[in-house]
Amino acid sequence: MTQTAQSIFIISDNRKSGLLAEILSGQGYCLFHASPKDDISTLVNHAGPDLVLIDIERSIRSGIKICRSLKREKISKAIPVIITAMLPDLQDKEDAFKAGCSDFITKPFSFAEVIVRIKNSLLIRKNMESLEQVVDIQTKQLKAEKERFSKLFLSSPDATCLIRLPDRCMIDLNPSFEIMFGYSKEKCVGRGFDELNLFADSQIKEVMFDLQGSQKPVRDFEGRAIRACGEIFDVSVSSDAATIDEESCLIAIIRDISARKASEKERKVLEDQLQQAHKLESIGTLAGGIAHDFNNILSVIIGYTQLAMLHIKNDRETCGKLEQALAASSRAKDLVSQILMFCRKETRELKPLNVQIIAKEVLKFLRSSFPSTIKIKQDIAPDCDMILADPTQIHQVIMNICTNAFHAMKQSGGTLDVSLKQVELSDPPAAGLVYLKPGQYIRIQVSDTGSGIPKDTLHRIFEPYYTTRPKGEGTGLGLAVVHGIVTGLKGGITVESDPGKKTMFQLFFPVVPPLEKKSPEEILTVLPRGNERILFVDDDPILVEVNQMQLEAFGYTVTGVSDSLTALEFFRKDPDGFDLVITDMTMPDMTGDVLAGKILEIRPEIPIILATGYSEKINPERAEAKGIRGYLNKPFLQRHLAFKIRELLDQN
Amino acid sequence: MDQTQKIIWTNDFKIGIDDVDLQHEYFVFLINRLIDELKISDDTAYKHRFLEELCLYAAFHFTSEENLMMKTGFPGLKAHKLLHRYLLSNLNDRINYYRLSRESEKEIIRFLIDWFTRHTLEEDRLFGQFMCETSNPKR
Ligand SMILES: Nc1ncnc2c1ncn2[C@@H]1O[C@H](COP(=O)(O)OP(=O)(O)OP(=O)(O)O)[C@@H](O)[C@H]1O
Ligand SMILES: [Fe+2]
Ligand SMILES: [Mg+2]
Repeated sequence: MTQTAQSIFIISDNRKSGLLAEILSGQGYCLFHASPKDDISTLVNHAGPDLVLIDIERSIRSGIKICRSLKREKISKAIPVIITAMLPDLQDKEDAFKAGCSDFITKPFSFAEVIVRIKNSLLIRKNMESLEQVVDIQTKQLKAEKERFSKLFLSSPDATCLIRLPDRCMIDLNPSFEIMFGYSKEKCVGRGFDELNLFADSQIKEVMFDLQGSQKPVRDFEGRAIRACGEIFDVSVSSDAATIDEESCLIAIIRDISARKASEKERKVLEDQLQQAHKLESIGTLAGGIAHDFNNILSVIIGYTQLAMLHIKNDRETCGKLEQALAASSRAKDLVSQILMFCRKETRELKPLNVQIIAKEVLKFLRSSFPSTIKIKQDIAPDCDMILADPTQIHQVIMNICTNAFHAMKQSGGTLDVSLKQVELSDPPAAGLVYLKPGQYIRIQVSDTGSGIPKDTLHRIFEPYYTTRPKGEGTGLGLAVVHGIVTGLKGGITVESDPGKKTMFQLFFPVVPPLEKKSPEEILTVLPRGNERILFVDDDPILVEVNQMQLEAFGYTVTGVSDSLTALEFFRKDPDGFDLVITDMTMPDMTGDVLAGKILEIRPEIPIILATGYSEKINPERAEAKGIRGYLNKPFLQRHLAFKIRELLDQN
Repeated sequence: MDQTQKIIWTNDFKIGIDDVDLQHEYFVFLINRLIDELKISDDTAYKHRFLEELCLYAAFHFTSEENLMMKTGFPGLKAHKLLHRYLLSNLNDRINYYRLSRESEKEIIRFLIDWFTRHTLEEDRLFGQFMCETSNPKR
């Protein structure tokens, strides 16, 4: 035995039993001795022996008494007691066993017998102890397992219930079941599962219980369920058969997936919106393609008109009419820009401009297109400072805001009030303007008396795709674009609405310091002139002709070519025969920037002007990097060209 | 006198109770036989078993005597019972010792003779006298 020695507590009045003790210790037992007169219970509790041997010759009774008292005490209760006795009567034996002794040995006995009996009692005790330990451990494990499962069952967010299969009676269900369906446990347990009308789709139940046939568990079967209140919601059902307490049962786990379904729907909406945006993009691409050709046509119209005006300088009346045509062409050109703006993010050239002029233009247009039920009031201060912006963008901003106002008043009619004024912002007047630097601003105020915007959606109107208008009518992009433009110009926008009474948008644009102001409208006749030699390249022969005539009218010697390869050929033959090259960007065979590159290879210092229409490939910075010094947006006005030419040539 | 000398039964040994005297006489007979057997036989197993026979007869006799004492209400019963147990336990120990060769045959025989002469002739006689006095003679 490798363990610590087992100990035996001997209570004896037999002075002569020394040999038995000797033999016992020879067996490896550790012995304690006490006389029946001692305080046995204290001594035993203190020694904690593995066995008590009572060997009292004087009286069996006193031995039985000691045994009984040991068995009564908690600490010594489990210790086996062996009583030996001389001439016991049957009653003594009975009493001894009743008192709880494990063995009773009658004298005469053999020592060997005593030792074996002691061994047996100890073995029984030991086995019992380890059995108790095993049972204890298993009980604990079982308890922990039970707890784990009941916790899983009780705290699972899924409604879980147990149905007895033969009679489909509800046996148990968890709190989530009660919450999900709105039935109390008391109401359900003991009732037939079919009595509770849990599912809107009868198929769910069929699938759930069919498993008896197919023997396969059901996983995430989706369908609709009904709450006690009648509300229908989406669920996913899993079930499996199990034998619980010797009864064949069905465990059903029902998951509420209505939130997931809702978010799926939401995602669908978002996807639709994205698709819508893609649609817009492709419209934009298409428009962009058309715009290139349309720009060329416009250039022709503008060019010829201006030429015609030069010819009949003295005919004031006709000149006036042509000016109208020119103005209309300008508007058309703006429209094209607006289309282009819609389809791409252009690096726009910002220039100082008078907002009031654009505002007036927009209002003039609105007057002609608004129904008579909508009155337009305007109050535009004539002499405001200029702002740094792109006229097309400003046009678009005012247009979008006014169009929204129109939609708000379309049904009921009302008044559109537009005012423009230069103001000093020292203290930002509204929360939306806190980020604006104090200083001079042009304030455009657009108010209407239409339906207005409820307070709870006011914060959403600038979101892209937020619209209250019917599908197909509103894109919800209007105000998003406005917001983007205004903030891009370091301006600000505010909105306030008193639904049914008045809705007002305020736009703020920082003014350009007066020093940077440039002289307004230049007059056609004072355009700069020159006598240098110019190579003009454009794939459109009409444009070549118009421009050649114009430039010649300014005094230049012009070689016009309508295809880039021929142009390169011309230049190569006589590189010093030209002082300046003007080339279109988009051309077949060889694009303008490539042509420019080749020319620059031959004569690196020659000034080149690149005229681009709708092109995403090149921008002023990139052109400059290639050594192209001039850059013009098509369609360009005559005066732009004239100034550009001089600018480049005078640098040399 | 040789202490392993056999006991010769005489009427002096009688205590006046027929049953008891009869048993005492048989006990003497057994002791005498033991003396012979131990001398003659060298079968250890048999010798052990014969000692057992003697021990069992002693136990029988003690029980028988105690029962008679109980029946007649002998006041010295408790003390006498103790004596019986002491004697029997002693004998039991000795037999075990003998089996382990830690005690000689002579010692056992000496103990038995001593026991008989002292116990029977002195202690049991008290019971005989009691029976005589309670006019419950010869049964
Ligand atoms: N003046 C206004 N009065 C009432 N509601 C307005 C006004 N301006 C904007 N809104 C609300 O803000 C929403 C978003 O406007 P936004 O201009 O961004 O898109 P839209 O007008 O609906 O569509 P789109 O401009 O593409 O035609 C509008 O649908 C509308 O509900
Ligand atoms: Fe006797
Ligand atoms: Mg809009």
